[in-house]
Amino acid sequence: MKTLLNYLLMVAATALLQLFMPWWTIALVPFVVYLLRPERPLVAYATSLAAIATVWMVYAIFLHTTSGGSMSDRVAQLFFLPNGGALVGTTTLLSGLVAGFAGLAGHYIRSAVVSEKQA
Amino acid sequence: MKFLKAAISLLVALGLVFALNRPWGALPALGPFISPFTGFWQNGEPLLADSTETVELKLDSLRESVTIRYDDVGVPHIFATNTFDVYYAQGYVTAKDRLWQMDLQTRAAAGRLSEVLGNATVEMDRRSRRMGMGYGAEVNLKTAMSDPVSREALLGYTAGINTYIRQLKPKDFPIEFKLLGYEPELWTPLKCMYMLEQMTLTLAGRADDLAMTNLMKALGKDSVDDIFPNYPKLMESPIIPAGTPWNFTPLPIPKATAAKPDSGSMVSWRSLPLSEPNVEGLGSNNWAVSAEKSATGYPILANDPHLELTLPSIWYQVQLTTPDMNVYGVSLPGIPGVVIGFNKNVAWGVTNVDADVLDLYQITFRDSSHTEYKYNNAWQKTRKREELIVVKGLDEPIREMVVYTHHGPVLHYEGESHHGPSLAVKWIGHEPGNSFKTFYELNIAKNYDDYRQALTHYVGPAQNFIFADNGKNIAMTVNGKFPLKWKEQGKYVLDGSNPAHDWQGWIPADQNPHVKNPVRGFVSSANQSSTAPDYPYYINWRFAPSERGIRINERLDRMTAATADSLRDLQNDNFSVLARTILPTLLTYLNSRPLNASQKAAYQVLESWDMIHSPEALAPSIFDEWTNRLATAIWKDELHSDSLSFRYPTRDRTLYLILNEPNAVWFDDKTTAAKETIGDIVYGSFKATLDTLTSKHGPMSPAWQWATVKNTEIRHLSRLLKPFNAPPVQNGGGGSMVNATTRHHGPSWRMVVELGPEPKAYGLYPGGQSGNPGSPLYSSMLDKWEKGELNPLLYLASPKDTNPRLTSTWILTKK
Repeated sequence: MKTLLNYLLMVAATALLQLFMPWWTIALVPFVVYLLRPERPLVAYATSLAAIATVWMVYAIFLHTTSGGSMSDRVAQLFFLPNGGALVGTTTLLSGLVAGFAGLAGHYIRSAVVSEKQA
Repeated sequence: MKFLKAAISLLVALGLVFALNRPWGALPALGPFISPFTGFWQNGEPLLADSTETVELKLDSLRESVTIRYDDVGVPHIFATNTFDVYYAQGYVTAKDRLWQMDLQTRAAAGRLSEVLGNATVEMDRRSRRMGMGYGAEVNLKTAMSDPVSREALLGYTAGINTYIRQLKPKDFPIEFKLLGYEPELWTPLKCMYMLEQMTLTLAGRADDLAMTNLMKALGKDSVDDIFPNYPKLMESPIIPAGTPWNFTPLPIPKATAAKPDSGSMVSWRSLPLSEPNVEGLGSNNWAVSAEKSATGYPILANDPHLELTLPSIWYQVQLTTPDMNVYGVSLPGIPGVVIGFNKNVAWGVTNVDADVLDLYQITFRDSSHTEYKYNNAWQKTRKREELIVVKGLDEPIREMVVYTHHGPVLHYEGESHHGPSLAVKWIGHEPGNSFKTFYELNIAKNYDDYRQALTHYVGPAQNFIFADNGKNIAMTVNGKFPLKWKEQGKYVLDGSNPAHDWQGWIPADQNPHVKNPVRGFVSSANQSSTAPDYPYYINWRFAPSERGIRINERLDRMTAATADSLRDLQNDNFSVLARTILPTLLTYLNSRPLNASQKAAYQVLESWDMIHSPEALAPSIFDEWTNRLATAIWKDELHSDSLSFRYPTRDRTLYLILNEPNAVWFDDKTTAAKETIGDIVYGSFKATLDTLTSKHGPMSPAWQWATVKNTEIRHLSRLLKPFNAPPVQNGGGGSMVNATTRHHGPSWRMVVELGPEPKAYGLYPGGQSGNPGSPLYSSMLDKWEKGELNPLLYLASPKDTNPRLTSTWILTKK
């Protein structure tokens, strides 16, 4: 339940903030979430990855299909990828990776600070 | 341990963000680029819906409100109430569709590419600076801004572009800005002038002076006069029909001065900021048939300018209306108004005049400070203009001191490269003028007199302005500001110290070659000689080859009851006058030679050919390669140097040699001990042609089809981003054909206008209205262009017109 809540919180926050904030919001959001909310490291990593990757993937798929791949298929060729679909994958992966590590960093900093206080 | 984990995970996260937030070499910063919220994903446009939505925008600095109706091709039909607003709206919509193109082209002209592209373009920028593009743009701006209408138009156009730019967020930037990692900058009226300078450089920025001077030195006057004559020897059909009377008293022609500078050998043109000489396919056609020749009872006019074929397209269609104006046609993104088009009463078009309006002067400097140069037996001071070239990645700009003589800027300094003296350029691009005003007055012209008046403002690049009106007039004016020259002045490098070598004034505008309603019932131009040799002034010693003009005139001569479709058909004519002229003779030389099976097969293909360069034919591939090789085989041994500029004689002179001087010494290949005859050269080049084609495309097969071998390619303006190129083009034609499609050049806009109570017009270009590769309108006209079809052009009378082709409506109101 907590995991789902964190997931939804991150999806909502990034989707909203991205509309007017730079791309690195996708690192900021999971970082802050797990800085404030306790979680096991692996879950923090996976939930961050999943949440942000969902946002980027869903929006990328939407833009890819509504445009018929008119831009993504061309940009894919520039990056030696077979088609825009592969670029959706790359986009998803990259955002997930950034978010995962950001979430993990938030988590570990939290545990470091908390254990410091307890000690 | 916890701290270590915290530190490591934070470092990894920060490292990723950092790495993705900065550009790597040629790669843009990947984070923002790949983000669906800001990156390239935002540039894919939805597939065309039959949108009839109404968009309302509140914009800064508009005077009144403007209505824009879009049609299914993406053409904006602009309805404004005043001059400022109509150009404001034109600037706004052009920027919306073509912002990156406008940015790149003005940067190229201004020598400012390196600011965004870095070191790689420094040499290009230096060349633009040395050519004095900035100087030319500034003097032209001064003239334009001193005229109330031009000023209003330039300010309106600029305000419209800037309103559009200001409201852009990074996610809205055209894809090329995102890829190259820079932001659009605000527009200025000066940039409009840079666009005009760039056009002038493309169309009137080449010179044979260096090559001709080297040839004179290598061959001597008799040979040069013989093989580089001042008028075609074999065939010509001049633009102003021979026999047209010159109804004026010419000015006295300056006396030719024999004193040629002791020039030494001239540097290659490649070291100078000039355009490549003699690019076949860079030219244009236009013609108009009279009311008597047409089925409609009114004149019909056609125009197809041949330029480099690129995406985004060179041209942008637009309709501009105010209470004083209702014009439709194509504009150049970056310049207000319509360049080629029509209104209710008139239609006009342009083709390039190959006038010699760029001359090189040999300069003797007093010393290496370049502060004084010899002129009229005294030392005259130079002026210096420091140019700062800002380079991305360098802390300090590169300083380039450009030295100006009274002729113009110095392009080359003695000792700078292996060959040649210091050279300054005298160029029409530095002459103040107001070309915009010509187009503006044509846009609102009602009759022939308005047309003639409009042309008087024009300086360059000189154009053959064709005209037709509802009063059933047709006309052609070879128009531009032409220097008053002695015969052959500027054919060779001139002496910069001798006042007699200066340009001695101008041909009066009303004495420019001109014809109205000729008895033959049509006017036409295809860049060939402006006039027969009896015109009293010297314009140039060579023009584009005559074949296109000859073919156009033959067909128009025979044409009766012409319609728009007859003219469209002529625009797509692939018949080769060149083949008709030379092929039978060439084949005769092969008759007595031994041919193997594949050579015989090729011979038969050529012999049975209808001389039409259709896309699927094999013969044009053989013929084209053969004629190129033949010219090389004849001339290269005498007229070639690896380090110096040389040039071959014109195609006309080469044909004359083959047909009428078969025993000329030029046929002997000087690099061999044997003495070759014309037969040996023809035979040898034929065999080499087949060897080349076989090595490139295998033995003769459908792989030799003309469209495949010609391989017309429409490239993205960057020339780098290949996925933004158009899909491969399969069409016929070629450099010497009316359908002048070569590998990279061709008809960049085709238009046919039937004059009449209501104009009926057709047209398209090989691309689309949108410059965004992710838009369905990026290359939407290409298929029809390839097939030689035209779109009907929607000419609206009022913003309330209804038409099934109309899509969205934009209403701009002031904030």
